[in-house]
Amino acid sequence: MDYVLKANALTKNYKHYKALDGLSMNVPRGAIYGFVGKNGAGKTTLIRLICGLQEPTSGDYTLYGRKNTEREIMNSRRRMGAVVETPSIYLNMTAEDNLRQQYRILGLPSYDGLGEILKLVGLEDAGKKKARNFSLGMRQRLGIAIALVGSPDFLVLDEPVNGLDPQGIIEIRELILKLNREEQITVLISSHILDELSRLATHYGFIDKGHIVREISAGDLEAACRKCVRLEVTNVQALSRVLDGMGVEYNILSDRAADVYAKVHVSRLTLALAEESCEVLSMQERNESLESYYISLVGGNENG
Amino acid sequence: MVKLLSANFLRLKKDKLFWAAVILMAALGVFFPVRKYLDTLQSHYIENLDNGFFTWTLFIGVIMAVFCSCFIGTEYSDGTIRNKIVAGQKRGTIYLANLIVSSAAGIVICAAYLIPYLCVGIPLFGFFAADGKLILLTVVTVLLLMVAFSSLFTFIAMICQSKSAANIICILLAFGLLMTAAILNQMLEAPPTHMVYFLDEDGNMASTEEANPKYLEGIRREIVQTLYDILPGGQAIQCAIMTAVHPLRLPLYSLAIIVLATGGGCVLFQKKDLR
Repeated sequence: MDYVLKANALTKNYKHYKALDGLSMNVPRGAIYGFVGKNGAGKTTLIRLICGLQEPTSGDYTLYGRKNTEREIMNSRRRMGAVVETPSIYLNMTAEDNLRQQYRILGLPSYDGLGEILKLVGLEDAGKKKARNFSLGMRQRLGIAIALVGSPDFLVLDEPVNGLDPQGIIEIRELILKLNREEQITVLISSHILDELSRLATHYGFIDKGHIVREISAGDLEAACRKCVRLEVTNVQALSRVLDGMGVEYNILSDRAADVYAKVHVSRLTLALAEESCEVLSMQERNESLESYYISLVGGNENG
Repeated sequence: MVKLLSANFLRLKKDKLFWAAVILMAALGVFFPVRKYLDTLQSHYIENLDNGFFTWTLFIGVIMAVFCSCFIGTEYSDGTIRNKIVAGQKRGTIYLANLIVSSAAGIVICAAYLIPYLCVGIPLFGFFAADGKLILLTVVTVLLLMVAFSSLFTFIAMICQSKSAANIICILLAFGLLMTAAILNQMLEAPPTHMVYFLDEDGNMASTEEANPKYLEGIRREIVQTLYDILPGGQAIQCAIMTAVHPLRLPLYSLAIIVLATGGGCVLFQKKDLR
């Protein structure tokens, strides 16, 4: 497989605090790589390292086949765009002026394509409005627009939906999917909003305490996640007896609810429960979520 | 470097603080000679163009402190310095581009005062009374002093990642340099002797001239004079009143400050963990 980014045993210490502890990861070309971890797990630190904002204490990484210790890493960086933490935009400038700045920083000969980028991120009508007066979603989209100047083929987004309203989250999600599908841009996206990531990512890297606990493709994750039916009943003991009788695996959640890990015959189950004087109040088919997979990887109690 | 300079100058062109400083200095450049001319008409005391031409150099430290810390500090407060690094620009180049643009802005701010002053002052007072070479040397000294101030404040603004902290440190430094220079100036200006008044045996007031213990001599005077020459605040005072003891040394000291501050700043910025 062709990889855009390969990190090998990266460590980053801040005085006595180890932010990254031998982190290794691989981002395949064309992927939307969901970088999952709780706050302080080391997501932003890794992004800062690969963006060149900080140097690793030990270990190395390769960006488009060039090691971070090589001088040519600068050329590889020109192929990437990034939004690290907050969008990097001049607040006293308009969206267009912000893009003009980036065009100049990259040394592009003309402002060709500037309008298209603004349109792509939905800021074509921002006009003379200063970025200071933008909503959080508009700022985030402007940050992505700046990262897109120079047509990068690797986009690094650090918590891009943090603090956005539902509409903003949908807009950013659709933009990322569009960039990946239509422009073939590889995306590394860090987040702790797992539900949102599960709608985007083709690959996952789970990070905890500064190292990758597991890397897995979305397909493999789906296969690993177990489907279940969540039942809400009036008498969970009766449900337990019936399910034991059927030889079905289940998990009692409360005195009224349980998850059943099998495809149940609904009529047969409800009839059996009726014989035990137990009513079925609700029944929902559920996938074991990315969240529960993550919790099972990094330890539920610790991550509360 | 050209790319970053182009981007920085584009930003400078749209910087309100820069234009406010230019307009303020231009207004002062018109106001001072006109006011001086009106005073001359009232007092009949003959003024010349030289007097007041360099007075504004007292303020260049403060002006540059505010400008550099705001202009460069914005890169940190808005996070836009990250865009430059992610775009593959070298840190040394980013540092130097900021220094060059800040210095250029400083020179434009200087010119915004000098040009109107000359345009209004020459028709009113005629040309300079002092030697042309001395005026030229002072102009060169002031311009280098401007760059020296820029290099000091660029150093602080590039190393300190908080814009407000950089603002405070730069302004305190500017005033600190000026006040230190004022103290040194006072030490150097102390007269070698002073009059002591006393009552004689008949009860009449008498006086005698005695050596001033505060008068600096020998190596102590050399040290204080050298410090006064090196400190940008000291140079600013000497340029403002055009009384430099060692006029040729001042530009050399400014150059040394520029080289040391920029060299040190580049090394520290190279190693800095950016957020």
